[in-house]
Amino acid sequence: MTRLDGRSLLWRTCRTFYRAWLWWYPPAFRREHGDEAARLFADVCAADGPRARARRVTRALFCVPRDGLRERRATAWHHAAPRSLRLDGLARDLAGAVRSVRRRPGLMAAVVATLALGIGANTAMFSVADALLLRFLPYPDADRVVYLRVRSQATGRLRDPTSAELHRWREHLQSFERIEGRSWKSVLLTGDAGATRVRMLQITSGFLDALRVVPLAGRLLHPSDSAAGAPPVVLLSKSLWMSRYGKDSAVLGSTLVIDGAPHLVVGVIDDVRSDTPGLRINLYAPLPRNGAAADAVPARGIAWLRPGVSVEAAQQETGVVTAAVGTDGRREHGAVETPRNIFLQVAEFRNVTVALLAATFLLFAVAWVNVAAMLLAAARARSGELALRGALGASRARLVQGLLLESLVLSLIGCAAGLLIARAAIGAFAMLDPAPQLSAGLEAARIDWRVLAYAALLSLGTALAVGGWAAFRSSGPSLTAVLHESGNPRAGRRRTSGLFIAAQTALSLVLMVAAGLTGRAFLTMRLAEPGFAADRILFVRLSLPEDAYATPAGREAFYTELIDGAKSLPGVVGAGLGYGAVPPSDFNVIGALRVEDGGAPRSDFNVETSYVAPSHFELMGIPLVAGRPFDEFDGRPAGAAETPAIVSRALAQHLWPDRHPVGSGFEVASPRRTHRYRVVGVAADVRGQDLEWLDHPSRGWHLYLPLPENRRYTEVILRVADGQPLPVADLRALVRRIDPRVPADDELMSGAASLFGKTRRARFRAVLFGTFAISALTLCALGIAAVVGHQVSRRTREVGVRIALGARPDQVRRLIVRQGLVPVAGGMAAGLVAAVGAARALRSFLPGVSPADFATLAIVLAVISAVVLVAIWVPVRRATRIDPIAALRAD
Amino acid sequence: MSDLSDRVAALLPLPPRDYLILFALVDGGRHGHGILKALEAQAGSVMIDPANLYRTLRKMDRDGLIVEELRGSRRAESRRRVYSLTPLGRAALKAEAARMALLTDSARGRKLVPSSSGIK
Repeated sequence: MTRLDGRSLLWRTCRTFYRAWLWWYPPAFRREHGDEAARLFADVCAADGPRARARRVTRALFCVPRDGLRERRATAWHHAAPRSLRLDGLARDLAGAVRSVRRRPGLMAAVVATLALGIGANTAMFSVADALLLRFLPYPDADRVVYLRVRSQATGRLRDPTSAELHRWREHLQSFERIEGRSWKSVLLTGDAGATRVRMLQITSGFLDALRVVPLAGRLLHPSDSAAGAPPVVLLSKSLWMSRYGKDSAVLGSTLVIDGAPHLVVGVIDDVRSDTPGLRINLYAPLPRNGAAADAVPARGIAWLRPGVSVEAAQQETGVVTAAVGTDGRREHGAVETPRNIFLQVAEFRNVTVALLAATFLLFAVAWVNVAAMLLAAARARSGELALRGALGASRARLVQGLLLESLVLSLIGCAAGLLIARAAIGAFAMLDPAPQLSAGLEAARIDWRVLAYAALLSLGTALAVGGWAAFRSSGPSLTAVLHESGNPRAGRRRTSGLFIAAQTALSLVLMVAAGLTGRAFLTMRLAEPGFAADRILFVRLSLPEDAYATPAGREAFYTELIDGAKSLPGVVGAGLGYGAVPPSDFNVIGALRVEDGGAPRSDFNVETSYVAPSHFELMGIPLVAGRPFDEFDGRPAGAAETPAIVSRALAQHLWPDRHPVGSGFEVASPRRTHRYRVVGVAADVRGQDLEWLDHPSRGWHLYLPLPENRRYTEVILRVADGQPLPVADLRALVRRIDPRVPADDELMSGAASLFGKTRRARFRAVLFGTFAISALTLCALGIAAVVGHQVSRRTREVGVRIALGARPDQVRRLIVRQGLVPVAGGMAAGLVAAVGAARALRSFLPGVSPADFATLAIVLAVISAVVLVAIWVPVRRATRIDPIAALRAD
Repeated sequence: MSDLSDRVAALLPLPPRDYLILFALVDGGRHGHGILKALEAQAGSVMIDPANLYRTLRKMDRDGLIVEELRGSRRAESRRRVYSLTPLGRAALKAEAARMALLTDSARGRKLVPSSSGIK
């Protein structure tokens, strides 16, 4: 006793460490020799000098695992027992887990499918969020990337440097490992395949190398390509190569006519994600490095900081060096700008991503609850076996370990299946094509190691949390308790089942309400009255090639011929020109508003604006409610002091709530100049940009201004008679016949397609929320059915007794269903509160729909009630179709 | 007897560590601590890992070279296993020593090792 107390702290530390480290040895060895070996280790350590002790500990760190594993292997082979007994603890439990899973394929399929759905949806949304919010820059080492720009000292305004300036910076600046530049423009590509507008990126010769792009065919750009006087060369993107040239390798070495100038095709590269979301680049050409052209082309500088150099240090150097080199005598300095992620900044993109990710977490939570219920039910079904094993000497830890391994095996299979689902889902998201920017993000979503790690973490967490809980819950009872209990569930267990049911109902309800509201918002938008003959309008947006249509006379000849030709197309009753004239317009008049003897001035006036011809209102079917349409003299000459204007009824009511608007004037002041307008007419309201903010006070505001003459960019609008098909192909052929250099493929559509293109984002949200909600509801129904079925089967004896004592089966059924409905009601109440909160968070996605929309809530509640009732009724009915005698004998 | 010599022949040559353990037990039973100290004293600067020692002892016990018995009180704290030689172990030790003596003699014949008097 004294000896024991006399042990030094060192001795005890050594013993404890060594005893724990012996974990590497098989349990049998540890039981027999562990304590003695640990004491021996402590003895010799305490006797050693410090250096020898250090050597001994080091040796133990290395030897114990090696010898322990040898011992494990040796014992595995030495025993001549059956295979399963030859493996020791962990391995045997693992084998047991796999066997146990294989023995119950039904349970396995249910758990795996549930987990796969939860993990799949969640992982898919995570990869989208990852691509949009975390990895938005398409550059390698994106955390070191900055933009280089030029700041005017006078105005503080930023501009992109010219190619020549970039070149000078590259020679002088030490903070950067690499400086590249890019500049994009829209170009006209002509040729045998017709004329089309595409985006061309002009880049420094090292830009693609920096992006680690390798050519699919041919080569990348050489520095010599960007020298003044070098023959113009161009690279094709894979998508253009495939769509326009059918993957024909003969295009290499051929000549493309771009903006009227021949370019030699030297290579094809895979599509490169742009750092401007939604910008699809089809051609890559060298940025001129010297000569007059180099000073003319502004290009965004993209620079990689040297490792360890801070943005501030780089800013300091850039400002000084640039000032020293001087930029053409103007007071300007180089500026380092950190790229900003528009997905993080534009609330809509951020919110939709976060909201959808949250929705998948709810779905995942439903899956969790389901899996927990299934595992618990499965473990309970084996409670006899577990209790027997416990009685035969297996420790509780051992039983928990076995059950835990079982859920680990299941969740790993579920994870693998979930990744397959996620891959399919990412493709499906992109097909929904919500909006250019979001689509680009969706296309960038990939299953990479980060996503894999995320999914693995999810499934591991599930296995540990859910599986561990279920294992712990079910490994407790002693054999006598189980034998005594048969068919008489304790109140605690029924309460657990009730919690499952309540939680699932609540979670599904939240998702269903979100889906219902976004769906309703989409329908409200989709079913909105356009206010013009949207489905009778066909239009094409044209941009005439600059070199061929330099003079107004040439443009006028083209438009006259086109309008005359269009009027003679089958079914066409009218044709005219416009600019931003088919809603939604791309133009807005923005500035500080001052109204002549009318409403209060406001600084943030913003109104959708269309430039229209005199015949416009008749052509579009928009009634004029007051005043007159434009005539040929309105807006001539350009630059007059006052512009005649037509306003929509909603705008007129806002500006002049209590007087007749025609003849009144107003002015809008922007920083550059002040425009004055005189109202000549009032038009009925149409839907346009406001489709996305139907509940906003500026709903219906629209300003019409006279169309300037013979613009290079314009819309040709056709009105087609009722019952006639839209002459899409005829219009395209007509444009091509008049001038094959004018592209007429891209923006040729009906008025309805133009207007309801705005609804694509809403559709995307509604479809995704709907899918998640239906998945959750299905899981919820299956889960409740499983839990109730299990519960009822455990009450077989009770049911038998009741029936034997004279209760009718339907009375018994009603009793059990009533008991099942109590947690459902609780779950619905909780879910409703949570759903209203969630709907408030979603408000920005719900134009024109109240977050507490009564009809939606009522429908959702009805649907969930019906589904849950069926989910409870079916197993109850099946389980109560029993013969009382058989039920009583079953034990 | 011939049975014993057959079994000994099957065990030879003994691994050095087994030989040293048997050698340490010649004068009577020892527990783990004593064996470990004897081994480390004989093997120079080599350190023996306690668990590995028990692993080896366990294996030798299974092979019938040594036998273990529990001594001390019933309390696990002070209970120790004491190992001693079996007749098979003693025979194997002798045979191994003889085998090594033979090897040493032949080495000595080639002047690879100084004669035994040289050591003294």
